[in-house]
Amino acid sequence: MRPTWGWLPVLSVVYGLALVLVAFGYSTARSGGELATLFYWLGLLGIFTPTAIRLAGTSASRHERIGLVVLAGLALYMVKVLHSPLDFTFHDEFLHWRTASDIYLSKRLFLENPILTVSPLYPGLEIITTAFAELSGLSIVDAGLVTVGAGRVVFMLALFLLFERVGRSAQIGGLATLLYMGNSNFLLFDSQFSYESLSLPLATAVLCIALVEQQTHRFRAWQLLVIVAPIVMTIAMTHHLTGYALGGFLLAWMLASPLIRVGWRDTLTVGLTGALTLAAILGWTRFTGNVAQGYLGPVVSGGLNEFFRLVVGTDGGRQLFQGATGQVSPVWERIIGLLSVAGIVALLPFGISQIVRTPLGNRRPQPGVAVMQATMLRAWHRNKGNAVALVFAVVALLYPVMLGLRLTTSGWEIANRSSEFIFWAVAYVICLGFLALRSRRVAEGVWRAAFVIWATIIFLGGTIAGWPPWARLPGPYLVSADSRSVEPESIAAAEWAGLHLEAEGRIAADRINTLLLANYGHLWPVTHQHDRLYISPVYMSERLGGYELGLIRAVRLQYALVDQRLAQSLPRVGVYFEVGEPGSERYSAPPPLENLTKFDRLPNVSRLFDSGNIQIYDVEALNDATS
Amino acid sequence: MMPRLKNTDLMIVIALVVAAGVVVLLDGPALLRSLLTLPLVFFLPGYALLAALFPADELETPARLLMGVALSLALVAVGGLVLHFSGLGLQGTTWLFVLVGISGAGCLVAWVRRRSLPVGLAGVHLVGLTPVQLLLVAGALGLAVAAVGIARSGVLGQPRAGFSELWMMPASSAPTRDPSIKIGVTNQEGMPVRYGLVILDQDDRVLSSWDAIDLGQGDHWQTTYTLPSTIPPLERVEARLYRADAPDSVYRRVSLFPSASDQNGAGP
Repeated sequence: MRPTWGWLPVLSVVYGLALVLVAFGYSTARSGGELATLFYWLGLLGIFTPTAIRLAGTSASRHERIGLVVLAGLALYMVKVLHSPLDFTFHDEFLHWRTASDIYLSKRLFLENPILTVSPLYPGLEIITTAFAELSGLSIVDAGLVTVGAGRVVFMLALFLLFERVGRSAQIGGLATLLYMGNSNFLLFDSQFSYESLSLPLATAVLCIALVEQQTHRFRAWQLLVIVAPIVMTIAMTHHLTGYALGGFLLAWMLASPLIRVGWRDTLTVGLTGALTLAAILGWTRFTGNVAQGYLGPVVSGGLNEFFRLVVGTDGGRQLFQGATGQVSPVWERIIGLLSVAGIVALLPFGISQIVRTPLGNRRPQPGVAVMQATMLRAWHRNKGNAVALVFAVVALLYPVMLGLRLTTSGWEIANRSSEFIFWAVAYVICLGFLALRSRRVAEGVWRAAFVIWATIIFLGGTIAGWPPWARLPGPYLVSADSRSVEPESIAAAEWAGLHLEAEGRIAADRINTLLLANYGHLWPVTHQHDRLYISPVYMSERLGGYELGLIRAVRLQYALVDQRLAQSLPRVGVYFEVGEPGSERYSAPPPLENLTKFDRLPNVSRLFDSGNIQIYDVEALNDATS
Repeated sequence: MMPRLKNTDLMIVIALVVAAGVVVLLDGPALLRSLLTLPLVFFLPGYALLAALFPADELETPARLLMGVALSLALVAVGGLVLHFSGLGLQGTTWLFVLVGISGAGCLVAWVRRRSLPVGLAGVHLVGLTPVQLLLVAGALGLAVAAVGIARSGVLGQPRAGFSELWMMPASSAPTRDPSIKIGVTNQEGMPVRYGLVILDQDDRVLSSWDAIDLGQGDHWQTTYTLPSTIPPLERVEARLYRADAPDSVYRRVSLFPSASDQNGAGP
């Protein structure tokens, strides 16, 4: 039977127009226009809201629903691409760009990366990107954009099929996938050139494949092995956290199966998939020397410690909707953000109750409920015997816990990085929750309108929570503001350094210039990750005393890049150099310019480069200085 | 005898794989190369493997599409490991060998396994768009391309403060034996600029000067200057850049201790 596409072709044009609006918003933002934000949000709404309207209805075919979520997902991915269409500009992208460049230039793996030491040991994304770059002749940036785009296609398909299988309804598949887009990392963080952007779609695909096999019994064990093994292997070698999350979910799924009397064959499917995942993770962890633990451990422990201090009252916690420089989000963003959270938390109990018990019992739904009532009834009944749904119900309970962690600075990182995994469950549960709200007197049109408004608020709230206002749109230079600090003068300085300085020369710089030196200059900047020290005191101190000279000697520093703009304002991301740098928790004013330019007053220090805001010094002589 | 069409999809896969291989080996036009290698990396290997595993078209189209792309990504990633550990390296020719090999092998196995199947199974499911719908989709693609164009022009046209670069480096790594220095100027002001350049010793005595260095936007200027023998090894040399429209203001400044690194390296 040929698929029917319904409104999909028309909505695809709507998506195109919405992307044009977003592009206008970005261009306007770059020139400081006042309507930039309006264009941007209208563009996002132009993608999300029409999709919600169509998916909430009952007339769309299954193929149309699949097409809509895939296209909408791709359109939202294009929102990120349009932000930086020429090069990578997001902080994490630079970390992986360096690994990809090393692979591309050397034709081999596992070379050291000074700006993210674990990245070369998890090279899945970079392998695929460089493969495409080699064959197509495209740049690493363009190849990377396509690779992440391919991952997005996998992601949207996998989410739909997973939710559809769990809920036994194409409408639930579409609506839950749509609600997943309200995850705070969906729009930008999981669209960037970073390892999770590939591993998360593949992990979702594994869950989907395992569920397809469990419900259809179409695969023999060896077929499942051939399909799943390379995918879980790729996940294990692409992103540590995703591997752990997938392994944990499969374990929970396997443990939940006996509770609801799932057959041994079905449990075997999950068990086999889980065993493969566990073997891949353990094997790769052993191969890499367990470096991920050293990377993730401090983040987890720091966050939990800070949360504990918040609970017992010894820590004031983090100010919501307020940046590191004291800037507060607009009122409407705060309202939407809070409404979004409330909209999720309020629906969780309804969704969970649908899974753990069927309130209807054996009663048929009353007339007046949305037309898909028969599907709903089947879904509700089958949820009761569905191990994945049960796991979703339990995992969704972590959402309120993660909200608490977001009240702390360190805990925010844990909550943020786990949100995309917890949202597998949250999206499904709140979808069920909303479907469960029913009234004899509610007309279908009113119900659909309420769903669209509620879902749109969740989407907007997620987008607001994901990135601060100054980071969502491009614009003029800001101090230590990740993509807002990437600009031609800094890039030119990094390129000059790459051409004229020693190839493996140790160079120090602030946060953004470090990234640019590592990529545009292919140099070896000093980082805490690699060198186990913070170089910031060399810049921030009034003079170079014994401690600062000791830092210089410890890394055999040869060059220092000074960006005088650091003296213009506080850092947007809270640090000038690296997270955890000394004094970062006490910044109340930017460093005096005299501190940054102290190298001009030091003997035997050459000032090699000057572009106005940026100077590069040869400080090798300081390695032998005593004061 | 009419040919059986049930392997149409395999023939398409093989045709695309061959076309991609040819355009890569012959270093074909960039756009064609990108378009043909896209499916070679992101779909064909996975699809071929699925066809080999499921010759009777047991999978529905969305699931086949999902697994096809996911498997392709995985096969490329794992293939990269194999290329690294085998010592062959991750380069164009080895990738071509791996991906063409996987796709070809998958199609071959699928073809063999399908021989026992009746005609009608294992074919290509058509998309089913009407001409109007195709037009709308084409229009949507056009709008997306336009959006990219608007975004790119926004980046290129973003108002930014111009800047000029001045730099100075020893001409060799052993400046005590070669007292030459390299000096360079780059104009990124967004307009043509006339510069003046002066080289001074540490007592501000002029060693050399250039009065009219005319550079257009993006242009570079570089020269090598040999320091006079009267300059002591550890003495500082400074270069000052001026703009013709502000001749009394030092615009950029660099300085060099030509022998400092050489002397320090020789110390205790």
